[in-house]
Amino acid sequence: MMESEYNREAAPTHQQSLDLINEMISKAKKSYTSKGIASMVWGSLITFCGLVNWVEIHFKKDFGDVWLLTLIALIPQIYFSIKEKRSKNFISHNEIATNYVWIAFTLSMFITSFYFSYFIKGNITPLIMMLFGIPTFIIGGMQNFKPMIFGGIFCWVMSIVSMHSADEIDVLLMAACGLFAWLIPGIILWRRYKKSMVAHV
Amino acid sequence: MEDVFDEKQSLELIAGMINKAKNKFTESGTLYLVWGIAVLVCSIAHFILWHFFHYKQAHYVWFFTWLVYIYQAIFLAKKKKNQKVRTYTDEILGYVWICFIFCFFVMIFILLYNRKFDLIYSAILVLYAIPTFLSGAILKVKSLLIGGICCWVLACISVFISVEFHLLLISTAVLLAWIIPGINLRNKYLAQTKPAHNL
Repeated sequence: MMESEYNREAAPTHQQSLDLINEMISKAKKSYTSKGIASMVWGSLITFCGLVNWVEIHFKKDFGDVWLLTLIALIPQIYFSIKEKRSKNFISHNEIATNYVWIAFTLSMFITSFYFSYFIKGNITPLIMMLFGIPTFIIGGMQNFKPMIFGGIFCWVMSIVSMHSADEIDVLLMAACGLFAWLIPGIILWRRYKKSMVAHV
Repeated sequence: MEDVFDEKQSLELIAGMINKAKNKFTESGTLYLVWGIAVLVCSIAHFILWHFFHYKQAHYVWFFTWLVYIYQAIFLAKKKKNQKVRTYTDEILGYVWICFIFCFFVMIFILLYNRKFDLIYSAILVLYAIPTFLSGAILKVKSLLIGGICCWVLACISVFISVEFHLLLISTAVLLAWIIPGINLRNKYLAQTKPAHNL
């Protein structure tokens, strides 16, 4: 009897239930604080490779294929992904979709850069920059994160610009893509994460 | 008092909302079918005119797709009008398809500008794969997911075969990536709406 009385008192009204759902959704939104580490790593790497490549072309130096560094960067990426996966007991729909976006991007990049440049010689930088824009734009849209949406659009604009520019400039445009599409949004995400950590303490 | 919800009812309400959202995922597949059939017809017509009749302006058949664009615009405007709730999935898919359309035109422009005609169909296959694969992942429709992977495989195959036959790869791609999943989606959609019609 006591228990049913308690239940009746504690039972939420229709409006309270809706408020509870809204609160849960907003909490879930707030708790999903992407740290932006991957974004910063890849952004700085692409920017670095682009700049080194420019030095190579401009000063006629040969440092080897600097873009191979991107393969090395996969190691921390895989390490952090596994570590994060182990520490979590759930995966949100958003994260699943994000993973698929990256799978799609990686496969498309592999096919475009490897096959096209291997079998059909020519400059494929505009196509690479166009592909850079895809995950940036979609993930930006999914997280409602404007710097990434603009970053994606920036990559597409750069891919069009690169059609009219020399190879030397193309690598600088590639560096700019890394900077604006991934490094800067990554830094913003990281700062937001740090702020939210301070707020929770 | 009648507005008071107990825990079970609240959970049922949440489950109901999720189910409603789930039903929204099961789209009719109309656009997949329309685009799939349009591209299939155009690519086969292009191939026949080019390969068998040596008609130089065979690529004009692709102007037919403008009619599909008009149909799509009307279809989407109507859908938007009747749509009560825009789910998160709708939003993500919106970004995926905006991305595809934009990249498609940018890519065609880049390749035509650089006179890389040999690359066009292979690049189109790579691009077809992206939204198809992602739609499959987001909507949890395996046939779309497999269709996307098929497009990537066909893009790799395209490197080893003559450009002339790339159009047939495009036909195969739309059949596997859009028409078959489109039929699947349509069947699911009809099966889902059937009880409602019977009521």
